Amino acid sequence: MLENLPLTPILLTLEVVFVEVLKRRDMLTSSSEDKKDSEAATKYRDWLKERYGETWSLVLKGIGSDKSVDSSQSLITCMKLLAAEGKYPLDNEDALHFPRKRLRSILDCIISEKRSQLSVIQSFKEYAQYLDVVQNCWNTLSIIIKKAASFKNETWALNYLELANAIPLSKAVQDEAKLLVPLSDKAPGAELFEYNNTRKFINRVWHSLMLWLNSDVPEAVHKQMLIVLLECVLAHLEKPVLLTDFLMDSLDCGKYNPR
Amino acid sequence: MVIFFIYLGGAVSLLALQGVFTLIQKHNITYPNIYEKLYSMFEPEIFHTKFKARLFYLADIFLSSTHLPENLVAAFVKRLARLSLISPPQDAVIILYFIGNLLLRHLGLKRLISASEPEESKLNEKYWR
Repeated sequence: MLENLPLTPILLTLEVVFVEVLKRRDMLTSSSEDKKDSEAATKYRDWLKERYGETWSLVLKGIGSDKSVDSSQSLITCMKLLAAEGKYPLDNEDALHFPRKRLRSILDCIISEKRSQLSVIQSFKEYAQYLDVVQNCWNTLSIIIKKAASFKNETWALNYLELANAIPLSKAVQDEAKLLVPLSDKAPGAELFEYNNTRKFINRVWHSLMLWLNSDVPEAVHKQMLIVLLECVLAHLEKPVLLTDFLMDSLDCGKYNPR
Repeated sequence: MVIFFIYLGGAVSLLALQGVFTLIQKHNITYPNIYEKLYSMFEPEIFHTKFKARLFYLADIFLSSTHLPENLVAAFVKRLARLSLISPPQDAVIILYFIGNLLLRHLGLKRLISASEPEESKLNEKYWR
């Protein structure tokens, strides 16, 4: 019966509650504690963290929902919680890091083996305007594809490629330099945007995608790989000449014969 | 089902052609029969795929140079004109604009729409005397 309840009001409520809890720093583990009220405060803090963890599990599960409205709202809630956790971290007073682990768990849910996530990926495109999201997504995608090692199944591959196509590192994004999680001045340099690093991630993703061609790849995946190449990857490749064989083979794929 | 795979195959070729064009233009790769490949993509079936806009965009770039041989461009104009007879109306309008642009860029192609043979033969006779 609970499964038939609409998810959206629940997600919105959880989002409002936990964004406020994060802002108030109720879950922050402070280094200097007053021992007198530490037990009750610690218990409360731990209880809140458990509820927060449960919330994340539920919201991530919502991304895989059959209804596109619920799955899109789950994604938006996840990203808002991610942004709030980035600005008000659980373990530090200052915003020093982009919450990559949370992003990884979100992307793992989007790149599903079981169902196509086109509507969720469409909603995710809204976050492609943020430079830090684009940089960290390419980093995460390079890790995901390396761990996958080989072509999993067509649905997984298409979800992966659609997601890659949704986060182009365009000149407009670099020039505007909008950030979802503005970090404090004390943040380490490695957290800030660096074009060469992001370019390295894109190249790693492309090299791993090329390994898929060693096995038989469905036409739809082949076509999507070409789209990702042209729209997102080609401008950032370090050795584009190596594409020659792949493109020549793809040209011969066509069934048209010159008359 | 076979036609579906032809469309799919054509879409893959078209995307690959765009990649090859970028390599030719920016990285000095050569592909010997690129114009033949582009020519072969202008088939009636292309109007039923969602990649036709990309094909016209690519063709416009490929044929934009005024240094191309006139017979090459004339072949494209002739093929496009024949396709416009059987294409959907909205695509026929785009084809006609495209043909118009090609005729404006390559002025020698005016004879495709307006032949002026009698005057030319008189000029030739003058040199025969």
